[in-house]
Amino acid sequence: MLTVKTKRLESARTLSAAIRKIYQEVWTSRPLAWSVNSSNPLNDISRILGIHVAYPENYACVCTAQHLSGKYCTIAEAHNYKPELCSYIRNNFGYLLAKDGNHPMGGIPEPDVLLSVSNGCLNFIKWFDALRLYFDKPLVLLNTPHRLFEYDVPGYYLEYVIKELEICIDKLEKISGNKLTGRKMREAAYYSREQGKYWRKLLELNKTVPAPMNLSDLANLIFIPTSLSGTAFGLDLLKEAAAEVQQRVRNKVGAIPEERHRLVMFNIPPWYRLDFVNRFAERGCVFPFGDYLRYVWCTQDIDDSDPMEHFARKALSFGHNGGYGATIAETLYSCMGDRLAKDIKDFKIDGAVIAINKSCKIMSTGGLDIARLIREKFRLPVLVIDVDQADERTYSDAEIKQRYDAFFETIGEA
Amino acid sequence: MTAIKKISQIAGDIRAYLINAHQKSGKKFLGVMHPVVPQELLYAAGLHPFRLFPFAGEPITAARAHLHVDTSSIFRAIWDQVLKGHYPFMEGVVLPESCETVTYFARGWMYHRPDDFVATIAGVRFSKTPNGLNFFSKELESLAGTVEKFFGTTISADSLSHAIGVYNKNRELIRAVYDLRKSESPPISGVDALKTVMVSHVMDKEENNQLLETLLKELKSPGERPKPKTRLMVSGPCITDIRLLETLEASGAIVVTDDTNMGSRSFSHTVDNGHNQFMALAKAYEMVPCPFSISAENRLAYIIKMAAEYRVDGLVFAIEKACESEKMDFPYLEKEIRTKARLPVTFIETEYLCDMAPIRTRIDAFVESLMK
Amino acid sequence: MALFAGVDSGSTSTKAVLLDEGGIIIGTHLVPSGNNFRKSAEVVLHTVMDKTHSKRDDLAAIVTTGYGRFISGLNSKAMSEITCCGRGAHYLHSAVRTVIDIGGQDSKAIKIDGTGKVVQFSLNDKCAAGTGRFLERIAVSLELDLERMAGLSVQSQQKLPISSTCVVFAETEVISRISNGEAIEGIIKGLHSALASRIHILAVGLNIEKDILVCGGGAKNAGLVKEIEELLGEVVLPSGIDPRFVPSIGAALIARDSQREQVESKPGESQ
Repeated sequence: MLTVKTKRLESARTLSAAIRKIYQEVWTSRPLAWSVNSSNPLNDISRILGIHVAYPENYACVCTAQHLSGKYCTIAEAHNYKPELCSYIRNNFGYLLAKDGNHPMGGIPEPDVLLSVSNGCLNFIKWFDALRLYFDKPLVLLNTPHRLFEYDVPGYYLEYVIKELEICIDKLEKISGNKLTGRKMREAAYYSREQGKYWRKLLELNKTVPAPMNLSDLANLIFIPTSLSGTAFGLDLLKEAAAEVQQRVRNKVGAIPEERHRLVMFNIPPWYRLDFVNRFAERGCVFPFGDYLRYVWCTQDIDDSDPMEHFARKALSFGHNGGYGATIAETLYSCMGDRLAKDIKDFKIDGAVIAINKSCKIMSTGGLDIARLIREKFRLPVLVIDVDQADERTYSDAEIKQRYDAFFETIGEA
Repeated sequence: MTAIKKISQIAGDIRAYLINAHQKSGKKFLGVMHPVVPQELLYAAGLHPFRLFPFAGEPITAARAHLHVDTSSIFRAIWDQVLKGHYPFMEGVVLPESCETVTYFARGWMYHRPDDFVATIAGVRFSKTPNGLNFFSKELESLAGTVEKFFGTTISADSLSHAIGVYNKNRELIRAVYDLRKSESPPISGVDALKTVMVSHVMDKEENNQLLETLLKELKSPGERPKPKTRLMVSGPCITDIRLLETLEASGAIVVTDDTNMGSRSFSHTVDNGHNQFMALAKAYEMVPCPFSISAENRLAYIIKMAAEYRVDGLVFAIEKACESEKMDFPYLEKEIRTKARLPVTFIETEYLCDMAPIRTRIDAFVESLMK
Repeated sequence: MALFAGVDSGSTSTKAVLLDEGGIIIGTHLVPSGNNFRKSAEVVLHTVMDKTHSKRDDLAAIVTTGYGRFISGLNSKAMSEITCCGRGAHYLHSAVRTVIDIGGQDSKAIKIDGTGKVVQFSLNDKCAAGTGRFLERIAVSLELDLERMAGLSVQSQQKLPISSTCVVFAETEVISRISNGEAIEGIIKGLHSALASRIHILAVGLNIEKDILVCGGGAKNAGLVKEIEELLGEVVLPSGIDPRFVPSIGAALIARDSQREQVESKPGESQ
């Protein structure tokens, strides 16, 4: 049994309670949208219009944390959702197709509308299109093209997305029966920008030694800028977290009792084993940073003086090169230059854990190259593991433990 | 030599053909993934674009260090062969926002091969709005600009018009070959039809047009042709393995048509050769019926229409293991086709160099179940 | 008297069934396939002929099936084991509408109509997790035979779920659970349940109907059959015959049909 634990943030408890409340409230909230949560301005705008938003992607994480992913994936696979599909998607269809009604947090009610954006993951468009056919409900899709090799999107990209956003808003206004006001848009853009500011502040604070937060804290807190974006409520939660973390920094309180090594994690953490950080904590290893945390729009400051432009840029500037307005197709390769060196220096990293995750090709493509680069150029120990984000059936604790132990022996000598 | 013999010969060693063609033409060769890239632009720039698919029969070794095993085996095989120097004639690639691996590895290509020309183009997916069309046309203009800058050439309106004409002709000829397969006794097997499209994907299009004209004459000439006992259609992403078609047809069936990236999806459109060329290209290419461009519903309509035209008895989904977009549409398509179109359906999973024996079992059983 | 043979060259064993004109099974035999399918097919056919004192000249038609169906070297027609399995199941139990065949190399769920003709089918993917190999491998690492494992599974009151779908991972999971002192019977029951759930996946996709017949080597495993019944409801097992012979029975029946078709298509030559 693990004795050393990550010291959980008090504000994380507040957040958990808030999430539970949100999941309860959706049952009495109409109209209800199912949406993609990462960097999707349609969520911010829907909320202003009185459309409530639920996230099957986040719900898949909830199910996974409660060890139901295996069951749901198995059900989905029996209905032709093949095992190579993203485990969030299989979780979602497995949940929908499960005969018994015993679901975590009571489940999520059926949607009136589906919202999707193509910036996060190409499969999410296909997923939501499949949901549209499943529920026979309208899909409002914001297409955001990927741009590579350039640090700012060309003008015609921005114009395109603003116009697409207008088309989407028109549809959402009809569904909600409400009109978008300039004041509400400005407010939402303001909260959106402010949340970004606090998220960056949290990341900045974690450069401190000892690190006030572990990866598990940040992986929970990421719910706010992704799923409560554009709300005053979300901003308050982030402010509360930032204040608590600031306090820890002031008092030199670390997330783990005895910090000896600082590691960076690449890829989505396995939600069914979020306590894996405690295995590392036992060996004095903390994760002050993970590249997953950069997969939110708000690693950069996006001006909010023109709310439409703010939201369009937000949709466009998602992903690894967040700071530069490029989109997610950049993948791991774009961080292999100066940014990796800067992260390693700033977060005082002395080892890396790189997960190869069958479900997420975005975050896994380049993983093997970045592992070699960190080993060869930065001369840091690297652990490469195969772990799916949500399909617990593909995970072998015994096998992973062996790899961990081998890594601890290496880092101990480093 | 008959056209079909020539096609078989080229298809038998595509690598040798490309090396030779490169030496002869003196043109710059550019690899292109997927049917959604308008090659007309590259052709008009004086380049020789060709569709990238892995050469047959070489185990994936070198690429393992870069691409993990759950990524597309077709793309891993291509990258493997690039690393091994099998494309000495290739100056670079154009990679669209399509397949997961292709999209996310574009930057990786650049990382490993900084001297290559690497361009990407974004698509509009299911948002077929006038705004989307306008955007896509600008994206194509931007690609043209990138090509001109890198290769120091210009793409004139005339050269583009010529290229569009050549490519339209090519698509028309392939469609004419497909049309012949609608008959009771198709004059060309699925194996030979796949070889024909594969060759068309790598050959200079003007030269290919001549070859296709000859082929059509040969196919139209009278002759004794057996009436197949079962007519199959294949649906899937990049069917690049001739062994797969051989396995399907070893069951006694004939593959009469397809819904694949190599096949019909590459040839279903015609580009309006008028004034606004970029807009015309955008209009034609945004409708390429691959799962990333059009919704499952529209794919269903496309498949059902085609199955009826070609009097298909059974549909084989042959899907690359890692192809998530195809697999995302599959549950819906399978159910609708089986229940509403009342067309028997089977599923096989393919991978580069996969063992054909288990596939043979599935196909034989499927074909046996189709017999009256 | 005309006789008809069905030879099933499977990955583990080669089976032969001999039928008479009336469609009555007059003999069966099974040998390990080894590494020479051709030889095993020849041997199994010889043996079944010897056992029944039949003459080679009486053999009117042979149908081969199974993975080695094209390389049996016999003067025969090849049919897929899926078609044969459906036919064989119908012969044994005419009310069967679904066949679950659990072999060493693959598992199948086959939906058939009232004549034994295949309507739809599904097979496990390439991974061994849904096949008999899954139990065989673990039996080896536990140093138990399959029968003993089945016995322990049936007896166990407790089921310790094995979460992994990968055979290699399941093996490590089993070993680490045993070293943690967990009850071996419960673990074994969990393993049988895991295999049953992979098979269940194949069946659910077909919207299967009753009766369900379980055949193949897996049908001999009472522990597995019990777990399958928990998921699919009551199943039937081939009665009076080793469940591994179902596809070869089908093959022999198809051989008999083909002979009849020939006779019917050439009426002038028949008496």
